[in-house]
Amino acid sequence: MSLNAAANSANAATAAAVSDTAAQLVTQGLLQNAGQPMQAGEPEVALTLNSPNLSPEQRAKIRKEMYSTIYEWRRQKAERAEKRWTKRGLCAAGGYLFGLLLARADKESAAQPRSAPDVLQEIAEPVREELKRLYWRQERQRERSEAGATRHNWRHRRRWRSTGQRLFAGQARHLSRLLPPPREGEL
Amino acid sequence: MTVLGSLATVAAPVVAKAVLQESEPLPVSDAALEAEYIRARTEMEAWKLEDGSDLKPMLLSGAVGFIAALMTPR
Repeated sequence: MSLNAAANSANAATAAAVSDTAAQLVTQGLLQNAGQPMQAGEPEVALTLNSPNLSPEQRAKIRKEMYSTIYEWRRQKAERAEKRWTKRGLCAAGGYLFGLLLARADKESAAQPRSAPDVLQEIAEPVREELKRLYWRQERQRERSEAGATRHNWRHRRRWRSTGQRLFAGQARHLSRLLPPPREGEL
Repeated sequence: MTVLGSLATVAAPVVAKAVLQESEPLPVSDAALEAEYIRARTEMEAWKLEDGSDLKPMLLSGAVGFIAALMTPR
């Protein structure tokens, strides 16, 4: 075996031993701290004052450590609360501003003068739709009655009509026979 | 309304910090001290595991502010 090979095998053995020891230490640490959380920067084992063979100095040191941990905890807790409420406050303020901007934009758009054709269009559109609907309804009724309406049906059909339609039903029937029906787009 | 909201926005974090920092007296007896210490360690450990997202309360605050703005008489 060459000198290099011997050195390499020795290094490998050392590395394996070190990793075994580390694994053991980790296991021991985890077992010792089972049920108790570990804190970065603090001793791995949780402090306790329950041990009967603690000297007064050790006890004082442990108490000091505990107090410093509690102080740190309270400080961090207060900081977190401050941060949290700052975020919430900023969000509320943002939402409020957004709502104000939206309301203002809505108000401005409502105050904008509209052009006459737009207004006419707005008024005419529902009227046109209603006229179309009425016309096609009447057409359907006429087709139905021509297709096989009995007197009985005809009598009932009259009831469906409004007063105005009832008054001019006769004339409308004559007119619809005289004139060609309007196309759908003409209304 | 706006002035009150602004004041609340500024005051809330300060009040929260002051209340949390000065609320409880420090424990004196060994048992109480140890219990408080364990509680501190547990909570600090839990903070590490938290994802840190405060999204829901933030969205809620934003929604409250938005509704307040819409309900403000103009």
